[in-house]
Amino acid sequence: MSSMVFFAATEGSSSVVDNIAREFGLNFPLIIAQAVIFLIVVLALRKFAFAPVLGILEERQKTIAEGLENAKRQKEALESAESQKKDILYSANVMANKMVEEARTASARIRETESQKAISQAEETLRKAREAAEAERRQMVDNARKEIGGLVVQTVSQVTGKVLTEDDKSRLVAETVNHVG
Amino acid sequence: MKISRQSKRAAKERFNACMDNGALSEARVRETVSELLDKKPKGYYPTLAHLVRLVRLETLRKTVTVTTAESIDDATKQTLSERLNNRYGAGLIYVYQTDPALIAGMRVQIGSDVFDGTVKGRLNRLKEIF
Repeated sequence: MSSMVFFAATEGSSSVVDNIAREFGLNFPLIIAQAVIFLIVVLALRKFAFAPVLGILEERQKTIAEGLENAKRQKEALESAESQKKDILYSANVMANKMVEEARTASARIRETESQKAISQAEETLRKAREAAEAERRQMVDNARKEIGGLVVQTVSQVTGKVLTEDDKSRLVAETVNHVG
Repeated sequence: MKISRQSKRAAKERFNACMDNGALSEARVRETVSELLDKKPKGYYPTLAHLVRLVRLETLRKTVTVTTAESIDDATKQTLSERLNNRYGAGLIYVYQTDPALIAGMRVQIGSDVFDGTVKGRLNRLKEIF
């Protein structure tokens, strides 16, 4: 039953198809030939046109990927350089601060040392000046004493001979005689 | 001139022979020197030279130089000689001098010993103190 219906439908449909084909001017062998040719063209294009183009595209894509990779690496290198720059700047800053601090300490120490040295020199100079003044004063006193002594002795020498009596002279001689014995 | 030990010893022996009671006898010295010059024994010249040196030293040691501003009387001289004989022994030779610059007092020098009782000496010591 169903096959009868199918044949009836088939017969009916083939006639429809034939009608449509005739109506639209379809030629199945020509369509098949065109399909074959189309297939051949597609295969040829695929082999001789698409493959190089795809290769070029793939190469370009690779190049782009490498470029991106390089850009990424450069960006990372830049970031690393920035980081290093910051580290170096930080280290330089720390070092500079340390050097400044050391310079301040050394300066303070040198200033203190020089101050002490200057104080010592001043004290030494003062002490020497005092000693020189004292020595000069002593020298002056000695000179004055000697001069006064010399004058006293000279005066006494000039006066004594006139002042001493004969008894005094005899007594002086007797003193020496007694001293000898 | 180099004088040998032997000559020194010979001169010392002759010098000791010239001593009389601890005092040097001028007569014996003259006699010894004359004998040396007459006999001229071997090495007599160095002996004589050393003897002269010993006599000179002894003379200096026994010479008393008394210096005063004015001359002193005999009694004072006698007293002084007695005292010096007691202290230094006999045989002293006295040399008396006067020096008005001493002003007053007496200065006695025996060898290296000096007793200065002059006014000038006292003033000099006073000046030294100044």
